[in-house]
Amino acid sequence: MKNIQTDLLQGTLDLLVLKTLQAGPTHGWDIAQRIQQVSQGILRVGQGSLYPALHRLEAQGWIASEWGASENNRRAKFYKLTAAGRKQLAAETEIWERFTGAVKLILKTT
Amino acid sequence: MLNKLKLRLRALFHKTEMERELDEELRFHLEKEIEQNLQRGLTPEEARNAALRSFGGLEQVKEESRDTRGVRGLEEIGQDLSYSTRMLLKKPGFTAIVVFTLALGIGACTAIFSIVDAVLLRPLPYPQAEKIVSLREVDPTGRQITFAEPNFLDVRARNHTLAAAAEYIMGPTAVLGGSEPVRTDVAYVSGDFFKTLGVQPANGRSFLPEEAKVGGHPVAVVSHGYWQRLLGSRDDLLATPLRIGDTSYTVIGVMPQSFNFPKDTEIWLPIEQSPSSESRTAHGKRVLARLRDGVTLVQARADLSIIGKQLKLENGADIDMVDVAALPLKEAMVGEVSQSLLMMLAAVGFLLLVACTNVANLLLAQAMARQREFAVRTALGATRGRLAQQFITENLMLALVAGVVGAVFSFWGVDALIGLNHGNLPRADEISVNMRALAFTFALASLVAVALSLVPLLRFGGREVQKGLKETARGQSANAASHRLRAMLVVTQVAFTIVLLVGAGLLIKSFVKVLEIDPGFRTESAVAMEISLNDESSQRRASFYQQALERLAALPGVTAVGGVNGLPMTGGAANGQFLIDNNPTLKGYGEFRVASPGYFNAMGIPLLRGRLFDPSDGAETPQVALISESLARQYWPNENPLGKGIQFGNMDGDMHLLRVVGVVSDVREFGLEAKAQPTVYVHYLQRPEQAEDFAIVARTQGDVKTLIPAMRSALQSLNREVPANFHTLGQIFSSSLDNRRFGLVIFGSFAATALLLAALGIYSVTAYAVTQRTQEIGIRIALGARVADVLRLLIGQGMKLVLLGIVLGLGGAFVLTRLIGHLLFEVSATDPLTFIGVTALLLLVGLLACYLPSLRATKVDPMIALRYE
Repeated sequence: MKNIQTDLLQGTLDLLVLKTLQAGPTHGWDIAQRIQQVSQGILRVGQGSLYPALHRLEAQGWIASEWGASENNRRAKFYKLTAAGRKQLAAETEIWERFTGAVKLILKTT
Repeated sequence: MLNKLKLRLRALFHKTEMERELDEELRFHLEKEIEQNLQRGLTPEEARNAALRSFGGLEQVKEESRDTRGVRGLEEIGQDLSYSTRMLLKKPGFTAIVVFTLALGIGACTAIFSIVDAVLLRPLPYPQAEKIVSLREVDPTGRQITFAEPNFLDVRARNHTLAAAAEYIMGPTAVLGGSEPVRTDVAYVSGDFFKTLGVQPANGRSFLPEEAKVGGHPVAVVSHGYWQRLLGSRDDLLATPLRIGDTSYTVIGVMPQSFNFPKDTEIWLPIEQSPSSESRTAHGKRVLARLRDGVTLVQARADLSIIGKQLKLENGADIDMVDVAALPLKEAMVGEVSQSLLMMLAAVGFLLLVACTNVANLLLAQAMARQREFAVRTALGATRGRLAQQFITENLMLALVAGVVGAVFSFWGVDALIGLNHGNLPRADEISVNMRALAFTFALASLVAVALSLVPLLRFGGREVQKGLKETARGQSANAASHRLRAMLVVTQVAFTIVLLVGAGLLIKSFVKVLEIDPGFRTESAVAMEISLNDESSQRRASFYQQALERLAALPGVTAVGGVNGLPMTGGAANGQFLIDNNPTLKGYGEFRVASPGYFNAMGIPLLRGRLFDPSDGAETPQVALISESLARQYWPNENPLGKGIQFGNMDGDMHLLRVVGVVSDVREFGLEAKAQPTVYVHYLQRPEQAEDFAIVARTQGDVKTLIPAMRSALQSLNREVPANFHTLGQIFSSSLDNRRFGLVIFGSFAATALLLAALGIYSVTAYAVTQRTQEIGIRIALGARVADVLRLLIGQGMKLVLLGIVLGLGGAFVLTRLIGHLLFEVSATDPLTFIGVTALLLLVGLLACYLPSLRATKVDPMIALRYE
């Protein structure tokens, strides 16, 4: 199966980032890796979209960042979900499910 | 919310820190990527390259991340400003030319606007000035003439529409009592004069009703300037009475500094104290009135017109007036110059257009040179709007700097222009480059900036990036299109320039035609001393003049001395109706001059027939007269006028018959452009009544400058209390041309500037074409083309534009120069010689502007040109 460029689905990336951060604070590279792993390699996040997305989410107040040490003790910027981000994640998850459910229904009938 | 705000503030104030963090974050990501690639077994170099490849454009990521900070707008303006400053400073030559060109255009516009604004647009400096009107009598031929006093009194008494009305007369008068005697403008005004204008003395009071009548206590109101210069700014006004003629006047008030009506008047006296003629045809009184509240000009005109007609019915042949004309005072004051000023505004608009076209041309050339820069910036993620913003910022900076420089230019320009024509320009003292003019400059500069930004944007706004990148490497179609646009700009420029040049050419030709006219007297090596003796008996006056003439004649170097009651080109003296041979049916009309025998030699007015006044003529001998050539021709076309009689009692009440003893050459009394008026000269000892003002002319072999102090001390040795004004005949002659020179200098300098700018425009387009075609020229030379062929090719290309511009410009000029018809003198608005001359001039300049840059092309080494690509 070919990789899917997440840029193509506007807004999807935000949802994926928020979901990934639900597991706990982590840095940008790890977020990209996890999305790739969890989606079994189908979804690849380009850095070109990831960092703008992170900064956008931070500006919205849904995630917060702080500098910390990475696994091998290098300085890295860690992102974590804020309370508002948690609410946003819940809301977006619901929207996404309703949307995909609807799409599935249509695909089945035809 | 708070979080967002914190982030934005941080973005704004801790920009470098944030930039560093962004760098570090992305570098961390890159290193992790490389690490992973290494683990997969790639070599370090491969690992790095792969990581970089997958990363996409690093700068783009950064740029997008920055976007999320939400302070783009502010940050960008700052960026644009600093970038623009750097760009402009990097090309000081280009920046200087653009700023200077725009500053010329903007400065000229501001200067002319300042004048037009002060003279035409702003209301007169009086409260509710729009209600003030000037009233004139209308005679049966429809001509508007000054009032006779009884008519004014009736109009004032009978109207229902005027809140106040006043009459006044003014003229130069000797005033004593201040720190020194001066000859200055004095106005005799009626009681309501200050009330009509709505201005009262800043210090003291104006005339009381009991002062405004015959026998009232003599009182005077003085100007702020007179009070400062000659009364030492003293608050105790009563202590220093003024003496005018035989009367001592108590100073009761000082007008505000801004008050200047009638123009240049320094003393105001009650007119009612000196009894006036009861004749309804003795004109000479100017009349002002203020409309009642709620009354329109139309209503007032209807009301006054009825009164005028009634007065005609009641007085029949004893009155000239058949109607009353009311004109808003402002129109009455500026009416004559408004057309010329508007013409100048149009001319300066053309100049600004030429300047803008030139700058647009330069900017376009710059934009072409900067294509790669724009392409690179687009590739790095700059949007089209972002580039537009950058353009506008750059141009705004240029235009604003030019606006500031232009404002400085305009200060000089306004001073210079007023200096050229102070005497003839109404409201000249109100002209200044003020906030309104500067606001106008600022608006103009901004407008110019936006307009200039449109040109390159039109060209480059919609361009594809890659096309842009490719095209810089090799000049292709888009450059050709830009070149076409520049060519069009040059054509426009040449066309506008032609219009200005034709206008200037016609004015120059008019000026030359005017100068060809013989003034009728010799203007060089002579000084005129103007004095006024008021209220003296006419006999005392004549003997004073006689003594003055004798003293001046004795001065070293003086070859001729003579006096007259009104010098040519100084505004005229008396004129009126005379009777030939005292026959009531043989009426004539002419100027009336009181002259001394030496006057004609001193002025250089040639005698044509008969004799001049000579020593045998005196107060007691039979009265004699000299007449001008045109008077002789008009009234005795086929006869010898010598020995004929003239009765000119209309002028001074002396009914003696004047015997014509000589005919002298015509003099242009009212300037070169006005026809010579038939003139009668009488002897000053025989008819001194009309010689309250006397101008004594002394002709010298030496320097006129050293003559003036000598004349002054000669006069003072006779009487210390007679103030005099001195002018050389050259100055008098020159200032009679002020009005014409004013228009000529303005049009001429605009046209010259436009020509220079057009030459620059042609030059730069040809120069660009030469660099573009270097390779082609190299090939041509390699294939055997001669220098002449190459030159012909390049010059031909440039001259095509010039020719097209000339044709369009001539067409425009053909239509537009009709508008300056009233400024022309004996030259048709479509004068073929001027059109041909201007065309030749522009062809020559165009040829030169094409030739110089083309010369470079002939030095192209074919080998280098071919290798260049």
